[in-house]
Amino acid sequence: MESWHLAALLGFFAAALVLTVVVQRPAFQVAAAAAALVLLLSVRGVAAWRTVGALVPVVLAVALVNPLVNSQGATVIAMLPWGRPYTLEALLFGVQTGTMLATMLLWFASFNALVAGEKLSYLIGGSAPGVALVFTMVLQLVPRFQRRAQTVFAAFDGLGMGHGRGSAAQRVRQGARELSALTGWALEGSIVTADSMRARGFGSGRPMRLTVYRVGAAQAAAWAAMGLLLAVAVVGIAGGCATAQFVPVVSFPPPDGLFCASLVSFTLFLAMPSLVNAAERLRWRLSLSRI
Amino acid sequence: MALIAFQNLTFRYPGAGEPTLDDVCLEVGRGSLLCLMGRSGCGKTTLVRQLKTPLVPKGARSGRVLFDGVDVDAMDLRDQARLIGYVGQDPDSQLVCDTVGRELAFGLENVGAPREEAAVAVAETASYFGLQELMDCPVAELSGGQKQLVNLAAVLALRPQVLVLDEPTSQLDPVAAGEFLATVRAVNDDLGLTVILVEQRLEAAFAMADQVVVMANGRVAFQGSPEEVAASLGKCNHELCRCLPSAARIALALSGGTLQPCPLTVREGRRWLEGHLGGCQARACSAADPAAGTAESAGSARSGAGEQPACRPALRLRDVWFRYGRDLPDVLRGLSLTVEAGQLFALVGGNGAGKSTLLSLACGLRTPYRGRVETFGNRCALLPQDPQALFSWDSVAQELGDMVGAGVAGAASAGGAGDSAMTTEEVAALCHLKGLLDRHPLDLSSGEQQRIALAKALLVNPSVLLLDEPTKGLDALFKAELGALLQRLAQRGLTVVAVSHDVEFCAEWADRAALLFDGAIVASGAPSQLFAASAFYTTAASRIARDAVPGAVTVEDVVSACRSL
Repeated sequence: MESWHLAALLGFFAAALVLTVVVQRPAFQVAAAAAALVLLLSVRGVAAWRTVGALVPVVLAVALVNPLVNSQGATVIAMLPWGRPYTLEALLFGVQTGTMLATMLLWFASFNALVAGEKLSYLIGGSAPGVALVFTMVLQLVPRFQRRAQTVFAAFDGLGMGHGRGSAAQRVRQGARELSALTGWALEGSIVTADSMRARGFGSGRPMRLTVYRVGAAQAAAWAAMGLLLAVAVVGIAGGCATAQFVPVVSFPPPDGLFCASLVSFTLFLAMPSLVNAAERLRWRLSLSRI
Repeated sequence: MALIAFQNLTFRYPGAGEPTLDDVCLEVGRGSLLCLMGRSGCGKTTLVRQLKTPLVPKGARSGRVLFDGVDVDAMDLRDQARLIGYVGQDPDSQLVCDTVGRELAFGLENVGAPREEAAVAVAETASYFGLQELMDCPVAELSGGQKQLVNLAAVLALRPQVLVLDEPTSQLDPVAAGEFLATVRAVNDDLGLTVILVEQRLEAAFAMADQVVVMANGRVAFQGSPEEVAASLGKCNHELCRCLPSAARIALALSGGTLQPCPLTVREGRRWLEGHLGGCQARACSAADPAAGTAESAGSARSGAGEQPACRPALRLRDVWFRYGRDLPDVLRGLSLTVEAGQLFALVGGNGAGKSTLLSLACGLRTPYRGRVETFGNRCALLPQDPQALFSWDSVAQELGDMVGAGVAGAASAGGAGDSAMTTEEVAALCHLKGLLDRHPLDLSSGEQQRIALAKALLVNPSVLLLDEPTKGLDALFKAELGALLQRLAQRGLTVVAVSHDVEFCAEWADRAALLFDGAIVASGAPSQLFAASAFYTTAASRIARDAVPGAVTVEDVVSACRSL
């Protein structure tokens, strides 16, 4: 799904985040977490497990801390030293909140991997090309500044006046010298950049965006299906199928037809990008086997 | 009709007394490659910028600049951007976008090119320049030479009719510069694109031009074919003769300044010298013995100071091994090197041979994981490649004054060099900075900036001066000044170690030279021996006179040896 149109990607991730936040019922939550995890695995491969490993302590911490501040709940596991009960319901509620948080972070991780700076600036570029250019230039500014800072530090160090030597006063003075050298150099560079931009017609009129994302029939079909699935899921969630109560006792509305339909749609919607990826991979395998 | 015409162009910067351009009349034919030369500050950049309306500096102008019969001021900004391409000095700062592909498309986007047309232009430009593999590569990851090629490609994607290049190779190493110039030549040959090239590395550029213009004090001093210009410079023994290709310099010196046609390339030079010496031989002497003898004497005369016995070492590296990280490959592999006090020692070698690494080890900024670096109590100062990295004040005087305090603080800990520290005035005089004390360092030319940085380094009072690519961005005249300055310093007892790509400079000024390859010294000796023994890594003069006068490596060597034949 790397080839997807940026608007579609943004739309999907926005919907996924909202859905993740609004559902409370464990069935939905587990489905959302699983979909987010599978997507990250399909996008980033084995490297995704590192992110997952970092999220487990988050879930645990939220789960264990919640009962300390929330003492509602019918089933008391233990009494805290300061006289408040530590309840099972509050613990479960903590697990629910932690899972929601972790799922959101998983969506964000996939989002970052899929939507590069270029795509983002492309979307802004349609309406405000100047802003988009500034955006990409700012992104480059920091690494460029860092490289130059290294050069400046090394240059002064070579004359025996690095900022790591001498008394505190000397260090401060040296720091000021280096900062001044760095800004002077950067300003000089920015004049050159501005000249280079104007020499190539920047500001000569309304620019044209050249990077094009093509929307093929398969992609359009996938989007239509996703729109349908999202509609069913939203109807179910709006109808209260995804609500749950944790305190004082854990209770859900009884499962019915609408619940099943909206859970299935919800799961399929969130899993669609992973399915598309899997299909693309499968097609690649098949095409390879023919060679 | 000429594609470009400057008609009686006069330009004066605000507040300046003398005009920077003084009644310049110049025509550039369609498809020609014009090489514009002259000392820095003679108005070359001001002249070529007049072609790009958005880049014209502020000031008073009279006269006209015509492009294809139209005044450039009357041109639409988009046509101006499309038809007249411009590439400047700084490879890094000229890049605007994050990836190579976007950089190539940048100009086309700005001029609102239709999508299909633009896609084709980007694709074919990338193919022509061999940038296909790099399309998604972040520009920050490219080498300096690659960056400048991308800058060139990004301009050519607009399909301009004329390409204006303002010292495009001054920040590149000689290998990358050669590649860049070869590409410019190919563009001129293959596409018939008109090129205006302001250049200081004339060894290659001069011969590839079909029109050369020499500027001096804002005026066109000479113009014509390269042969004609070389001959007329030679006739009046102009200071810019030094900038000419070695073949031309040798031929001009040996023929007394009058000859037609003047040889320009190594091939032409060899042929010319053969003919010239053939004539001499007929007149008298047998060539072989005296040739060898004179070359030897020429060599030993120059390296005399360094060859004196009983010199004490100032810097010694013994079996030094270094790498930047545990898992990274070795940069230096068992390198051993001794530099004697008062020597001007040149270290040459290609990219990635470990030259700069060696300097930072010698300066104590890094330590080897095996082997020893001995400095014998000497204080080392390392001058970086970019002198700008050291400038933090608004005037040259402040730059120098600032070093006095810092230098004293440092010198106290380092035990001093034996000879007394130079004062700011002495250093300013030595580095020819007297007239520049009130100027802003960033407004000065590369040569002047290099001298300021050198002065700053001298004020730290070092006894070993380490220089990283000191000739980068300098024209032949500034190089000669720098060489003479370094020699004066060496005579005062300072040890100078310069690492450089610039074989010509090292051959001319160094007492000793060494060739660094793959992390170790593979050869060392007097420059005359070292470069005479090398077939590729040597000066143009040596390549020209290799058979006739073995052992001569500089133009002066060749000339004096041939004269005595």
